[in-house]
Amino acid sequence: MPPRRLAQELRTWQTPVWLALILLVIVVLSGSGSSAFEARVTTQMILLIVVVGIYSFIGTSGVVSFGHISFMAIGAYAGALLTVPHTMKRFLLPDLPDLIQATEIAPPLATLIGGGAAALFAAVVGFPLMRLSGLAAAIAMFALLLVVNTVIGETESVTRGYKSLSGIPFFVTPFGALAWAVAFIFAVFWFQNTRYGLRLRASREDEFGARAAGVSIAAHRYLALILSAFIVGVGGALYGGVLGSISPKSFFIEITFTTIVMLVLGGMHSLSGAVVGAIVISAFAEVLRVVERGADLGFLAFDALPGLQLLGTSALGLIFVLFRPRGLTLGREIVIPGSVR
Amino acid sequence: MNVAQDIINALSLGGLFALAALGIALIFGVMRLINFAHGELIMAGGYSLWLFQALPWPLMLALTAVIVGALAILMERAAFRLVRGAPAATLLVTSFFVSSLFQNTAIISFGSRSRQAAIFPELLDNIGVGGMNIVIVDLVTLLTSLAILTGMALLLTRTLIGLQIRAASENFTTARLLGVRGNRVIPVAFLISGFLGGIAAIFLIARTGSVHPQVGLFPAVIGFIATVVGGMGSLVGAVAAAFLLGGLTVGLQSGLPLGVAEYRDAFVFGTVMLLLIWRPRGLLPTKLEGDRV
Repeated sequence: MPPRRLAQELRTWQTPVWLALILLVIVVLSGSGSSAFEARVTTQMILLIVVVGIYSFIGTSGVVSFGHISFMAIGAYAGALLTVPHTMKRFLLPDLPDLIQATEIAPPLATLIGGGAAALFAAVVGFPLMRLSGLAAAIAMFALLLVVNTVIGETESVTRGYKSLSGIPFFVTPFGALAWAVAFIFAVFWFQNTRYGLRLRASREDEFGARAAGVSIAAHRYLALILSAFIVGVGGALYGGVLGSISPKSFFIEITFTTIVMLVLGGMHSLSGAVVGAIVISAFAEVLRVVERGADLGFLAFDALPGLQLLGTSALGLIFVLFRPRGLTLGREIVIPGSVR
Repeated sequence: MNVAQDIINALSLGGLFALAALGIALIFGVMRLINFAHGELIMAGGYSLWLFQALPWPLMLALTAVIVGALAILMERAAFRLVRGAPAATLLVTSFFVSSLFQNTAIISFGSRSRQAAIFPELLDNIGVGGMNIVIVDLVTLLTSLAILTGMALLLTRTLIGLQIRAASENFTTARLLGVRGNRVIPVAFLISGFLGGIAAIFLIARTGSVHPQVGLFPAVIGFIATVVGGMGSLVGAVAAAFLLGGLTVGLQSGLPLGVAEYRDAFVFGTVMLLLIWRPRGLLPTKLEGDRV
């Protein structure tokens, strides 16, 4: 490739490159901490993957969805059912069909299948929902989350119901999570600049204008929904692989709230916003977590204050939405100033 | 006789849902905000009842009314006034944050475990009417919510402030041009919705005998859904949708065969999705709602 062409390619792709470098630095710097800290960094990296996944739908289409965590739940349960060791499954889930009970596959493949299951689910239920906009869409997606949560919680023979499904091997390392995150950041960046992504973003800015210009909005949203369900589903499978056990409660209102806060705080309308928001909230939550537990720093001692972490996160989110509603990035991508005309 | 009993249960549940839905729909009308934090007004009412349960009941109810009213006003002044007129998504997310803020304040103040609050224990007695066993609280919920819905209808149609609220709901800018003060109408709407939340709290707590930080979540979700399914901005639609949801819940509970009945909520919310796909603008859409180019 001639140098000029290369420089141009680099300019075009600089946003995901910067984002990947930032994440790499974070993972390398946190590598010196305890193994518990490392697990928390990995967990936050997986939340970042989920936020990037949610962004690929909400950010590009402009349709607010409170239901994406249902895809995370499906990815997590699919991944768990395929990775929990056969002997444990026989004990935990005696009524599981023989085929699934005997199956035990390598975690990376199981993670991909988890994403695939979520994408398939989105493909089946998604199309009629994509005709909706605004509040109707937000509520319909939320209803989807409630349905999925009920079904997972009540189907005890497959999921252990509301009890937690444990025994998932701990297969996610910080660098493993980083690799998935970087791959998805590049994929989403690529998607939002394809003609499909551009048409979808046009419909976000002006629904009627885009329709008048011949964009079939429902079809484009449907495409983005399937992509985002895949990413969020992979995030779900990885989430199981870092926590070791999952339950329907892990995939409900609280995590919906956390991921939406991350997206809003960073800036809903740019990929950089999704990534930056996830990083800032994770760092902030980590600080508050120390305070919440109660700590004695020698010169300063705190009592334990359960609930403080979420209180602080929501206060921060509220301040942002009131005074900087377009988020930290104002909906722009991270680039070197002057490098993009 | 079973059917009659189911009907009473359905109407009572629908009445409770309607109280929650009305509080949310009223606010949606005047400022196009789906107030998810309405659930936390119900929660605050619950905690207030728990705190004051030893007091004589008129005092307990009066203090609860003051607390929920004050919180509703505070919520409007400190958060929602600043985002008035913002896009629907921003408003929704704001209310999400306010809700979480209140909820976690409750966790820090009162802990995350349930607190026992045995208010009006006599409401849990049964009375037998023609072979049916009716829990008094069901009957009282039904009658009170009907009385309150009637009162609200009168307030909105027969008083000046009611007229102003309806004018602001129909077209906020024009209403202001005609002399309706936005900073008066919206706080009053919040005050009323706070009282409605407090009343919902009484029946919720009397029924379950306990209060916890998530107690308002389910009523808020139902109110939220009823407002959108009913036709955004239509109070009648929201109340109708609330009764529909109550009927659906009770009907599925007794109608579904054993082994499927556990999935009742999945059917209820699945129906909500189908309703929205069928009529994206709600069952009784208001004329002025909907997108125009």
